[in-house]
Amino acid sequence: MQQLFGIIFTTSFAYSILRVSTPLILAGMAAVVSERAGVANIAIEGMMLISALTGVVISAATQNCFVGVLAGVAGGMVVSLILAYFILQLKANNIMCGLAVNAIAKGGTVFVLYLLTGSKGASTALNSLTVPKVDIPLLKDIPVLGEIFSGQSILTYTAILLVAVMHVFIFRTRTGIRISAVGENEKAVGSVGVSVIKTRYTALIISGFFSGLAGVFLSMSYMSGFTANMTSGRGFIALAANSMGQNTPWGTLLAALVFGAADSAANYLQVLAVPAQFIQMIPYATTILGITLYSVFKVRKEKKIKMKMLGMQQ
Amino acid sequence: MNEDLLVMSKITKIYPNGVMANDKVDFSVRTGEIHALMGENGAGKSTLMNILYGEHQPEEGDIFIEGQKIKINSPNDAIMHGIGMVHQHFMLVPSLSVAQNIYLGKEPRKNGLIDTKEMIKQAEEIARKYNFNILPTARVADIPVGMKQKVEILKALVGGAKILILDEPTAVLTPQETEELFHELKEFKKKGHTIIFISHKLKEIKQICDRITIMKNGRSMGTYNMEDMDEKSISRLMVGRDVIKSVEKKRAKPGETVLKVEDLSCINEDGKHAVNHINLKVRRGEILGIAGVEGNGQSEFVECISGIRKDYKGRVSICGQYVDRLSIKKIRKAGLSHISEDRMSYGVAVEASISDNLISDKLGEDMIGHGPILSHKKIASLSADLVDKFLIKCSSYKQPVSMLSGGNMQKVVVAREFAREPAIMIANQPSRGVDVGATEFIHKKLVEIRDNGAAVLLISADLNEVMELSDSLAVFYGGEVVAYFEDSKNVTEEELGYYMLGLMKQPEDIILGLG
Amino acid sequence: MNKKREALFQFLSVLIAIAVALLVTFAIILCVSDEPVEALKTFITGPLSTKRRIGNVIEGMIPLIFTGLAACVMFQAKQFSLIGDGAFLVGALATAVLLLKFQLPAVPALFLGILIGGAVGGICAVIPGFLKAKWNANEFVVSMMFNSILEYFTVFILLNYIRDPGSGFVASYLIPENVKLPSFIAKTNVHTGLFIALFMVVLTTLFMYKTKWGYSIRMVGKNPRFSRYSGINTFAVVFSCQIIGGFIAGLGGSVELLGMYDRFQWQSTPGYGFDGMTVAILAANNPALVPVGALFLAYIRVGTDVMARATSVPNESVSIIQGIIMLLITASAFLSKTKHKMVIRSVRDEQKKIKEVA
Repeated sequence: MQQLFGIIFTTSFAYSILRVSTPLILAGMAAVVSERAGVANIAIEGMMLISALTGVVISAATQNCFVGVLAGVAGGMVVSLILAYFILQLKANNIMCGLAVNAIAKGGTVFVLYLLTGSKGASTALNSLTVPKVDIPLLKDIPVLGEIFSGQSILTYTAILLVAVMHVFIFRTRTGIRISAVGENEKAVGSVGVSVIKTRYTALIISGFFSGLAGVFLSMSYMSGFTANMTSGRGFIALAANSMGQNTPWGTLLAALVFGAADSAANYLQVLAVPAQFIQMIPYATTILGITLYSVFKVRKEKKIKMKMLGMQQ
Repeated sequence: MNEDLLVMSKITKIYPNGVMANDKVDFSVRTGEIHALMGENGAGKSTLMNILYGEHQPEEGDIFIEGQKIKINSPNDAIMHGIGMVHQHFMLVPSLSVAQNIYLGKEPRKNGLIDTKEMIKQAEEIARKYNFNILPTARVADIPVGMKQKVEILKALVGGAKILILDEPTAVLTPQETEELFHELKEFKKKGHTIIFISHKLKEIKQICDRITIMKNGRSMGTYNMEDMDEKSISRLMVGRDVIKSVEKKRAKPGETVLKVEDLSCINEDGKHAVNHINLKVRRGEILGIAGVEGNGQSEFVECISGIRKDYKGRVSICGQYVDRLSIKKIRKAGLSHISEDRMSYGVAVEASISDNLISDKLGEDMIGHGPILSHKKIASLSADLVDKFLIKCSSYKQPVSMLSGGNMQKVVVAREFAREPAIMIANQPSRGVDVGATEFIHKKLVEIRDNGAAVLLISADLNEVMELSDSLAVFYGGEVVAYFEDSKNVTEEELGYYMLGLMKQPEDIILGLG
Repeated sequence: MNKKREALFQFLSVLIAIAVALLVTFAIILCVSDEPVEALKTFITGPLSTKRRIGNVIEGMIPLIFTGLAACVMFQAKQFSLIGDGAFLVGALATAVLLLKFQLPAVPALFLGILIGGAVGGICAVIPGFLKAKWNANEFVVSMMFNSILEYFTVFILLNYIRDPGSGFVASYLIPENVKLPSFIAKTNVHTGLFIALFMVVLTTLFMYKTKWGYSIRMVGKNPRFSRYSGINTFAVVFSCQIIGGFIAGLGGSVELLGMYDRFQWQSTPGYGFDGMTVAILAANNPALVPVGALFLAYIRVGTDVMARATSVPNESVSIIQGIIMLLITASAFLSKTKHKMVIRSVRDEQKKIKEVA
């Protein structure tokens, strides 16, 4: 037990939470914006994979990290555009479409990887770049806080900044309000002459942008290079984070940090005398627990309020 | 004044399910008039207006404004041409404020962000200009129906509407609110707006419209000046014969109590006390009608007694057996049948066949097969029998329900609910969206089971319907019973209006006669 | 007339989806292969070139039939659960554990082994099924997460309880020869599991269309509110259809293990749960058509495998084909414009007829 606390109460553990949470935060934003528009985006996982590979390949080809990131993000947006076409224009079921995109992404990335490198496992043959980490002046000299918050990847800072941007975007801009309104009552939006489909397209493309960034982070910062199926369910954990965060950017950030903590705990606890497989289950079990608690809470809350009001009425 | 402002020519619309909703319809309106568009449910009025507002595309036909041929591909095009629409079902976003709804899609901005203060100011200004009483900062979910409609109208006006389409605007209003609306409409007319008024209420149309176009079965029956028409001639054009209003029925002979509701209260999804301490009983051989403006607790009340809603307080019994803690299956077994007000959500599974829709409440019974096995033979004969008895127009009972018209869909619901010979029949808006023929049929059936000794609880927003069918009558207002008439013949429409609006309330002891 | 026309449309749209998917694949092959003609040829005719390969197609069908049926039952109730994946894996694991840990006579061992696979598969579905039915927790995400947990659990059991240290790779001890499902076509591995699969097809079809419970599942899928209002216990339906799905997938895992393998050796899911979804879509969620969908998918599987061995085109191309087919078939509206026109024509025809009669 003491060993456990020794691991958890360290700055390096807190540092790692932030690092591990970054892809979940970014993918969580992808879930927020699509869910608000009333489309559950199952394909975040697949888009992340495609972006992760695109980023690696382009950065290796151009030897320019920034171009690599841009290309990866663009890749995610293109895929989300295609997905949006199927869901919005052809009225296909979004879960099945998402699954299809995930299948294409999972097989397609390995397909391309093999053609480029001759390996079906990892992109080690490619000389790809990573996004630099930066020290924040002043902050880095503060004890504890500096060790946790300074020296993270640029993308981690970008992610947190983007959460704030998303908050303003959703609640204070026309497009943001429209996206939420479309999710709540699409007919209302259609009746004032705003195109429902265009609004959803916008939401899904933004969702693709965030998925892309999340994917690029995985292959160009979290790890240096692409490995087959490197997202390992993060796209779905992001969906869970969004529903726990009640479709709000800050709430989702918080939920993503919880899942990130579970994930990095799994990394740190490998040293304990518990079979490795059980440690590896932690992030997934936490997610199920999170979804369950949230769902129970939601149903209970409604019921409780009602019963309380009825009780007080007497 | 007599120039045609808008002309729709030879409009044809066929829905993907094959229903021909408009067949070469001609329609035109003049500047500054209030033009009635009349017809029964399903005559194609709403379809025609949805085409004008760009929500549907016609297969054939042209639209002209001020002599110019235009294409309306979306509501946006319609708005650009100065057309605004107030839908029958409000197109509002409940979680947003009144001002946000009015300015949805065109919010005033400062530095790229929405300027909330300015938006509220503008909303107040326009409300003042048209003399509308609204609360710009209230959440739409929290405001009453009448105000929601005003928000809808303001939304259209802010969009620059010169031609305002109102789709059955009075359906959800009390008589008094309707008067207020008519007053406002006359003001619009003075200000130069043109109004298309969709309704099937003859009196209202006589009262405020200048001209009238009548539709029947997807075709236009012509446009007439209002002064040339009387109620009889209009109704003849609408239905092709004189409307038979009254249902023939004998005097009720009420027997023992079947349905008893004791002190029922419930909270709805918006956290409001939708139903407040209601006591009520329905006896064998009587039809108890519940009148009231929609949204005064009727829906929640029915959901509670039929078991759809579980978290309520109070007791419900059927034939002396308490059913309030039972599953829907058991409540139905105790003798309850329920025609839901929301046909598409609860009444039918549209993709499923007619026979699948007819047996959904009979799974526990041998009439569709013993034990866990379905007998397709039994189902076939049961379905054929019900299709026959309830005059469901279809090519076969294997047809999916989606291929049927609204009236025939409702007949499927009625057939299913009647087939089990219930002790208590709850008919919630049984004739909503149903043509005259089907309505008459459903009314006859309700009287028939009453005469056979069933208890009937009829809930309807259509005053004519409750007044014609009910033996006794209660009025719901604010989730409470505010009036009870042992004999429904002892009350006038006007009097009911006052109770429905909450302007009057009977003393407790009279209402208690109901419980 | 309407029903026939509708069925024709559905059939046509499936065919077109397949055609488009294959065309896209051909285009990809043309781009990436040095010898595209050869690659295409092996892809299309490869599965039929030898008896062995024909055998491969039929063997490949068997697990797909099971998970396809599982997906059908869940899809009919509009439950998008991927638990078939995990149930298949753990079902096979349970069979292996039972057979390796308990000495049983051959016939009961086979019978019990398969049954326990199904039972454990069903148990796997309890958590996602219950959470969905009771608390409306998204079954898709929960089943995905739960599958990962099941994978780690499987590895744990494999490594610690049934691993054969003498084996050259990570695998269990040898499964007793006498409980395995024998192959019945010489020079192939086509095993008697095929009959179990076909039996399950019949059973599932009967269940879905001839029982009250099957009817309830279909109605809940078509309109859950209507079903609840009618008195159907929607909780039980939503819960049970996932358990049934898990059960069938679990059976599939056992049958696959006993028919195709000497040892239990999976350390991650073989992905049949997801493939089953593709099969179900191809079969329009009709259990009776599942063998056809499974045959098709197994065929392109073997085709891409043969192609991968003969040329430089990796066999991941199969998941691209699968994805495109799923995309196109689910895009139900992608033929709607033509469909709409045909409806107009038929309404006109009918009206003409009515006029003629009058």
